[in-house]
Amino acid sequence: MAELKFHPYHQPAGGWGALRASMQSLRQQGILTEGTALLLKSNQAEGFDCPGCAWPDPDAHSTFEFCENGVKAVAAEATSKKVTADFFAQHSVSWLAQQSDYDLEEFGRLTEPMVYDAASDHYVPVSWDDAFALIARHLQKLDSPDQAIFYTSGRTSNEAAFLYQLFAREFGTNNMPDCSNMCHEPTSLGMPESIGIGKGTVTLEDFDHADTLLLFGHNPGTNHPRMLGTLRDAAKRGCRILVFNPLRERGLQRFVNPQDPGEMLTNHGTEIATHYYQPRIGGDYAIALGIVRYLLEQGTLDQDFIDTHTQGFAQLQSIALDTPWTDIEAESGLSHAQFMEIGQIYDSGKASIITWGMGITQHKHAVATIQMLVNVLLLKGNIGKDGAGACPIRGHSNVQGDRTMGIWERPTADFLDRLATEFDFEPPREPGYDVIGSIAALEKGEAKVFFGMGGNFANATPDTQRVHTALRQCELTVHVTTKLNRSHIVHGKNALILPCLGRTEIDIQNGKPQGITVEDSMSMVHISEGMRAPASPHLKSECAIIAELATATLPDSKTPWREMVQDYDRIRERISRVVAGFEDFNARVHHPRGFHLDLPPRSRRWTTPSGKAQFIAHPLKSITEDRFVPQSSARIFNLMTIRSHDQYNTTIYGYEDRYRGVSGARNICFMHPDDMAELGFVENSTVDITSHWTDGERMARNFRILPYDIPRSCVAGYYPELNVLVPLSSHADRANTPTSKSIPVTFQVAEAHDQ
Amino acid sequence: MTNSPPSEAAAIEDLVVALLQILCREQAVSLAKIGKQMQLRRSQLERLLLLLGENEAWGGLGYLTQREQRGRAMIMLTTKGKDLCASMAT
Repeated sequence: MAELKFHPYHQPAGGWGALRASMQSLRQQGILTEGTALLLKSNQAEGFDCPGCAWPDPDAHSTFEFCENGVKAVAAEATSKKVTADFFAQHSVSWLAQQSDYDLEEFGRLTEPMVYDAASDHYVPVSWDDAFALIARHLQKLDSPDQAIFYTSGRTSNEAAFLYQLFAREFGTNNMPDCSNMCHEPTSLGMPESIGIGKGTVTLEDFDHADTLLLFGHNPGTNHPRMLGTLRDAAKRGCRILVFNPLRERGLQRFVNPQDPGEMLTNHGTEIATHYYQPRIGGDYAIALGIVRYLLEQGTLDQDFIDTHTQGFAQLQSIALDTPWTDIEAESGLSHAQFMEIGQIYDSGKASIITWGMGITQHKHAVATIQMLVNVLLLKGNIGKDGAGACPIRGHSNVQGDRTMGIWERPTADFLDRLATEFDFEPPREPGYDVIGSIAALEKGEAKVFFGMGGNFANATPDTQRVHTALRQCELTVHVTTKLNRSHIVHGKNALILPCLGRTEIDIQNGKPQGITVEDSMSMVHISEGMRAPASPHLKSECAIIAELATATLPDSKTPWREMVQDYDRIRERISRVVAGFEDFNARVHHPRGFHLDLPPRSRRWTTPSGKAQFIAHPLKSITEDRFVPQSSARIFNLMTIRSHDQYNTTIYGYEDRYRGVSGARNICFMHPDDMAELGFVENSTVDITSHWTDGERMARNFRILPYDIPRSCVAGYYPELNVLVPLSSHADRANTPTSKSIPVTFQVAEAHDQ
Repeated sequence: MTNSPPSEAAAIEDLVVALLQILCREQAVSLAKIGKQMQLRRSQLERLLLLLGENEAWGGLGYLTQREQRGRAMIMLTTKGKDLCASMAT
């Protein structure tokens, strides 16, 4: 047990000695339960991993780390409000369907498993055993295992994810869509082709050594607030921070650190961005190409690195130098002067990091854009040295870990071979459905059972109406969850809600508190143990649910499901033999801060077919010419969907988008004031928004226009409300990520609608 | 029941005493303030509160309770906790 620090308050001693004696007595009498005593024993090495985001914790043992999103996430789980059987008895599903997403979340924590009763249109209690038996019956009667979909949300722990994919594969399918399909799939696909791995190459310490940061398409102030502390420190020591974001985001301009009394008192804060550029939505490929062109024309390349470690330079050079600056400017929305400035800053840097988020990945040409950003790094040797590298920013706390654990519809042969050897079965080899494929299969009736391990599939996915219709066609929908959300209301003919422990809650298995592990955006793997009493004695952990599901569904399985779940070290033992890079998993993770996965590019090892890093480039015309141009007499805008400050993905905490000055509503759309004037709108004009695509139009009604600092012809509004406008077939090439950041729309004054 | 070894038990008792001393003096304190004062991580503090709180299933001693007050998580003495403080002062 590590040494604890505390500051006893010096009161007269007598009374406290008596208390100590009482505690000893209580222990001896067994009043202190075994669980409680064990909790405090394990208090030191194992911290707690916030479910708020995947930004690394600078110190897993820091005192009382605070981040607004984390506080909200913990508070949301720790709420005293409960959704009990009585609640469901009082409220039909039809009534629940009329409640807002915010209200569904606010009702509280689910407390026991529920099954949908169609006759009454209510959820009614069901025992865990009956729930698993129901699922098993539905799965076992499918004509093919591929008629089942097993979806994963990014909060699922490594242990649960590993068991879940094992179950799905023992059942016989690779239909494992996950939230990553909707966010960083282009990163996972594009980066391996360039440098051999689909993960970021930097550690948190690299941010202390970078002299230049380029931030593309993400908003840390809302989506990963702890990153602001890192950026603030970088800014304070003089790092150049170049931000590329169509929206002018307050958190990237100035940050007041709540941990800094001086800043809190003066409210002055630190300027974050040294340079802020507002490109056209979707103009990032052109920006990266422009930086490449600058470097090739007048920059100083790391020729030794290029010669030793890369291939494809000649083709990149040809494409970049053949692209007129006028085309680059027009496509990016930035001026030539700005490119000269950006190029000069980047070129003069000795160590640069490029970060990116959904503003890069949720576009048609996301893969190409990411590869061009990597080209920018490679030209200056900015991979494999301190303070430099690629940093895709993941939003969910374990979205990266889930993929590492095998939650992937296209698993590698090597992974499947190891899985087969470890568990003595032959896993399916044919790729399964990703999110887009799953929705298509559900629509056609080719998939009949949908199992969601967390998340809110009905809201997170694009083309909302189609997805809802598809889910309602299912024979069975099952959701493992902590609170109510839309997916439990938009359910199949048969439906189950299985409530699970939250990340903050103590997970006791076989009398012992269990820790789960997660992998953050920088490939650090660390363990987390819950710290609060479960919201209900009827909850099960994700791992326990999967074990019971597997036991019920796969009676002939050789896998010792229940035995593994009695002690999660046993799961980790199996992981250590199946997942590359996790050897000695238990020994390495039961250690303060955990361990860092090996990332070959950090030591300039390139696990590509050529053994070198690859420059990959496409002519700009190939990016612009296949763009869909709607046929409409109305002026076309490009819409990006965004999160508000008061939400975490589809979880709505409130109606305050504090940094953007919006309060009380979510049906809003930000527009440049000059565009508003041109269309005859004023602040709070109510409009209907129509998206245009090859398969027709979609409409979102009654949105209010608000002026905002955003480029002309670009607009922004909240997701998931505007997911209804994102066509299912509009997605990133090859990666299939919905183009939620780039949707052609038109506006009209809202028509009066019947209530 | 599993008993903690003596050194671990003493450390737990030290934490309990320290926390209760703070509450006896201030009656209600925010989670953040206690954590900073006692140099405890949130996870450590939450588990300690479980021990000293009112959760029947977890065998809590019932001296403290947690409530939200104007957006802040506050720790307060229960009646039992106040009685304990009163007995310590005599």
